[in-house]
Amino acid sequence: MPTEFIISRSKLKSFLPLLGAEVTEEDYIRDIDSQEILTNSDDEPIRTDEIGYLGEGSIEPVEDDFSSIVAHLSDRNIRDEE
Amino acid sequence: MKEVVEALEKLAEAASAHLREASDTKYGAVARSARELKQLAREREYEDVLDADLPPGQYADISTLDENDVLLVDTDNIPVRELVDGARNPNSKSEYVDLLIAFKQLHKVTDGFPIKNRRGIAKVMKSEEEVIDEVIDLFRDRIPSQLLPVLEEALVLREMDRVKGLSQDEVRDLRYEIGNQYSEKGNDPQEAQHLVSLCSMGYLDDGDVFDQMYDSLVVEGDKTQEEYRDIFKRYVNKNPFAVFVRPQDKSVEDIVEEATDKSSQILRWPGSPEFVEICGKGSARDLVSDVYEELEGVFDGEIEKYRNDDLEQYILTLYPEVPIE
Repeated sequence: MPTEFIISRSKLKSFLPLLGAEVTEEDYIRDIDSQEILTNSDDEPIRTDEIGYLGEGSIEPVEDDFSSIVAHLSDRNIRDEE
Repeated sequence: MKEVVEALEKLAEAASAHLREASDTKYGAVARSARELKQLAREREYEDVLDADLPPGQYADISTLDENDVLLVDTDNIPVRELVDGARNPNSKSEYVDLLIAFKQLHKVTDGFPIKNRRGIAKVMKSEEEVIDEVIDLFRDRIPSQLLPVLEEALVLREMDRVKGLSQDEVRDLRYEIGNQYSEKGNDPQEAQHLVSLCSMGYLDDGDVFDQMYDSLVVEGDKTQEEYRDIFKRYVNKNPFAVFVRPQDKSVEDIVEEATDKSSQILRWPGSPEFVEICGKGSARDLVSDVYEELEGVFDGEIEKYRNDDLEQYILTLYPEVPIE
């Protein structure tokens, strides 16, 4: 089984800098270098309490929802938007 | 695993370098914490890593989560922000830069990091990829496209349950999310629920009910792929051959009535599997046992019992008598 690196929600603020990001005062995620707010696949920012997965890329915050996480991780090209 | 160990080692080394910058000593409590993190990471006596609370000052420890050994790391106790900011300094120490490179690489190879309540999804999607691929590839062109994501999610859920052993509440919550997402796209959430249930029973596996149905209707029969798609959708919509039993959901009488109704209709369905199954899981198995007692007296046909304790399933298969023409 592959090893998972799991983050408690309460540790996002201290963990995210390791990925080059930080939590804003409004609880969004921001890239430290560009200062841009990071968004989900619908280009919407989501708050740390709504995040279920820190997707790969610059960091794609994925909603705290089973279907959204499976859709993010899937490479099977079976969804309309793909 | 290699990248996990590497990232944690770099974290420990960067923390040590930060300590040397701030103080001349390398023997204090912080230095010990950093050495401990590096040692535990290298020993690899853990399945996963969890960033969670530890006593103040402690960087790492071994603990358990879901009955598996995990390496606990508390990033609140490590001056992560200082290390990362240090890496941006033009004269930064190589340990700081190496730390960022190692975590970037880890992010890439692991495909991301789950928040604690979503652990296991990515892991199962990777470890059970072949099982999921087999079913998706089989049905990719056979079922309506809007049902394919539901099928994939149902397979991931089934494999998570098999590998991790989810509680009934966890399964219920994940099923709700699958139905909710499906309905947000303008579809009937009940359809998603039926498909998740059918998938959980293996009816979509290679050689099982829906694969055999495809063979008899399309490969050997005269139905087109398009017609099979419509038939499949009707099966998912009406669920004519399976009765899924959940505790406190239905009474014995309700289940017996539903099962006998379905068995009186099932032979009329195109590509009929010619049986009706009553499926109970976990604590619903006792209810299925009571249903069996009741059915023995009222059902005209053969009943088979099947118990799979690994999957905590109890299944009754009802074969209605074929009417003599």
